Amino acid sequence: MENKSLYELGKLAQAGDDMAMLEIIERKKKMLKRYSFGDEDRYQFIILKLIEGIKNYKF
Amino acid sequence: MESKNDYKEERFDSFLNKTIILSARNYFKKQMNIIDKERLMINDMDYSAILDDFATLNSSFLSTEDIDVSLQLKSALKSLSAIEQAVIFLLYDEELSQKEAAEILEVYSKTVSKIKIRAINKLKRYFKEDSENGK
Repeated sequence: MENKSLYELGKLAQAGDDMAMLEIIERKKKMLKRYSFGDEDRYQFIILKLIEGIKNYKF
Repeated sequence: MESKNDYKEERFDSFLNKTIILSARNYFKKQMNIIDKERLMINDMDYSAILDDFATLNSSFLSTEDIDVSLQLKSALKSLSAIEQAVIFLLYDEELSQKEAAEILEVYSKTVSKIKIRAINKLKRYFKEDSENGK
């Protein structure tokens, strides 16, 4: 997973690969942390929206 | 061929970034509507003195590594409103400038400054009351 590009991971995640989805979240962790202002609820909300976005993205 | 892939990669990356930023803003706006409808007050305060106090508090927290202080600080931060928590987090944990924090929160830089002062005042009051109760 680590060698794959974000785009490839996105395609896999959309197809239902949970590991790819987790890898995308891992790569965006720093930004997620910054924008969740240290609030766990906000962090979870953004992750949900991110997953929703990836699922609906037109590759 | 490679540049086409680069373009797709960049496009997807930028989509992810925008999704994170917009979701954070949407959540924040929701919170603002529910919790933080109070109007921002402009008070005449000694800004530098308050900041010095906070710095002292912060440095003593770091040097002692006392778990009680950590828990105290955590519950003190919980007493702040959503926007105050966000401002304190961005300025002191993420170490952003007021301008950067203002961009993330979609408010004026001056508003960030006012919220920061208000939050620090609340924290000061919290610790003062806490120490008085502890005596």
